[in-house]
Amino acid sequence: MQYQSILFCTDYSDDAESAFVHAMDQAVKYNARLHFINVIPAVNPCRIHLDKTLSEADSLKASREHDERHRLEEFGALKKVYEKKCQGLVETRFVVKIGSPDVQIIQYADENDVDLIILGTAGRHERQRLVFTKTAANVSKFANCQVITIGSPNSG
Amino acid sequence: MNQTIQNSLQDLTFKSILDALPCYLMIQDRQFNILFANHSFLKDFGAQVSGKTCYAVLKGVQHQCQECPVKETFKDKGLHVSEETIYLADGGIVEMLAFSAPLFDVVGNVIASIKLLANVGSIKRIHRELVTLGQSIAFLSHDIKNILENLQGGVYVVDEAISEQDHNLTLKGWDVVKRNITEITRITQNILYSAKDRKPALQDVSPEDLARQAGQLFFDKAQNLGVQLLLQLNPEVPNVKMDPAGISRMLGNLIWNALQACQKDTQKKIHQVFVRLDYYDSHHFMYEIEDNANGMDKETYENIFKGFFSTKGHAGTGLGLMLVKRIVTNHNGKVEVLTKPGRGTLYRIIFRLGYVAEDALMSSPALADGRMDDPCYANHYLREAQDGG
Repeated sequence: MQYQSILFCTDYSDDAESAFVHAMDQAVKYNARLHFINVIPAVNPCRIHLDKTLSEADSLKASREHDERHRLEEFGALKKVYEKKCQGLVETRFVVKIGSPDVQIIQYADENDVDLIILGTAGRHERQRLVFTKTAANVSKFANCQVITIGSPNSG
Repeated sequence: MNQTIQNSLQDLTFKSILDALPCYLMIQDRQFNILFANHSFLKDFGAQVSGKTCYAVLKGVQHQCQECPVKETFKDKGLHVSEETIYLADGGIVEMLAFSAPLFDVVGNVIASIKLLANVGSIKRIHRELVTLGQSIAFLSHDIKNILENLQGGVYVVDEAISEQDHNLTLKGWDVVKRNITEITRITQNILYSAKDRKPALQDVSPEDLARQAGQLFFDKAQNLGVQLLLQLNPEVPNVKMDPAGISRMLGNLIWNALQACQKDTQKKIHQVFVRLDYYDSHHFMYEIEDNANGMDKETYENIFKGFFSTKGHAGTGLGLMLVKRIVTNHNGKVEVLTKPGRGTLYRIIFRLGYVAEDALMSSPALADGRMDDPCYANHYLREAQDGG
């Protein structure tokens, strides 16, 4: 299999860092384009009307603006964390999405002709859930390309 | 009289005519900044829109829309039309038809684009309802006819069994009758539920109890089909205000669909349906219904929530998923679907915990100790790195 387009998914967990090493190896080996994706796990547009001093409309507007600001901040941070580490690769792309990580990762991979997804076995916040399957399990089951999940020896 | 009207019309300025238009009108430059907006627009989006971009005002985002008629107009100097979803300042979301046309300078260069937005939400809604109504009569008549034929078949078998005093044959025929009564009951309940756009009757309920009760209703059915029906429910999720009848119907329809999908899949020896309940994040919880049946192809996936689209042939009306979407929308929730042909399907329904009283929220161990706050952001990572963590 000759990979041309690899998607590395990060939530900055130990597992994701282990996955990054492997993603770099694969991108160098196959001279492939490497996409970096971070998904902010939020429910959009199922919004929360938290600030009771605001009207529903103003609260929604504030929520949308907050989401977009947050996305842009995270985009800058994503580049800051990884850009220097991946110099020399043929092409890199950075993207931050808002939503459910498994849905967003699969959708991005479909839309960008990704042929390999690499991600950590368990996300940071997922360790605390009681019964649910993990993002990695869902991406492995439902993605339309090959998927490699990697666990870190440091993860509990 | 006509002369009076003529005189009055002569007094009108272009601006007063544009302001009187019963639709939104704006003029934009090449960078999508709003140079002018008519009264209707200013009334609904606020007076301070001049100089702001259309996507910031209409969509609340800071990037251009993927499909933009104004961009196309600047590119080819032509008239363009698109359908857009607009967020009003009062929180409303409306479907609009957008027209853009070029404004030329004296030498024929496009100096601005005029954009007109007409609200077509009510027309589209009526159109959808009429299509649904027409389809409903055809599909339901067909399905009910099939069920009645099956019932007649069951009654015939029971009659024969009674006359021959064959106990086993009686049980077989009676099983056919019961199955079809269950089916026609489900269809009738779905029709009744979908007949009017009802508001949810909110009550203080346990999401766990609702999921457990919905699952228990299908244990026998699952066993008969040889499917493992597994409940994985987080008991920490607190009570919320929901319409129990609606949520039960929603879960029932999804579990029923998953079981039917397993029954249809002949490729795998072991079939499982999971019913899950857990936190989504610190402000939301979610239900998941997952099967390992045949999954959906692209066409099916794109049509599942349209009324009366069914993959079950004579076994389904397609009403179930349409109702699921309506119930979720009525609870301000969200549906997500993951599916792959040959692998299975996962429905995730996300609701907010916002109806819950603050003290109930804080009595939940997962929320009280903050472990559902998601620290998976780059800035958090950078802070940790700086702190040497």
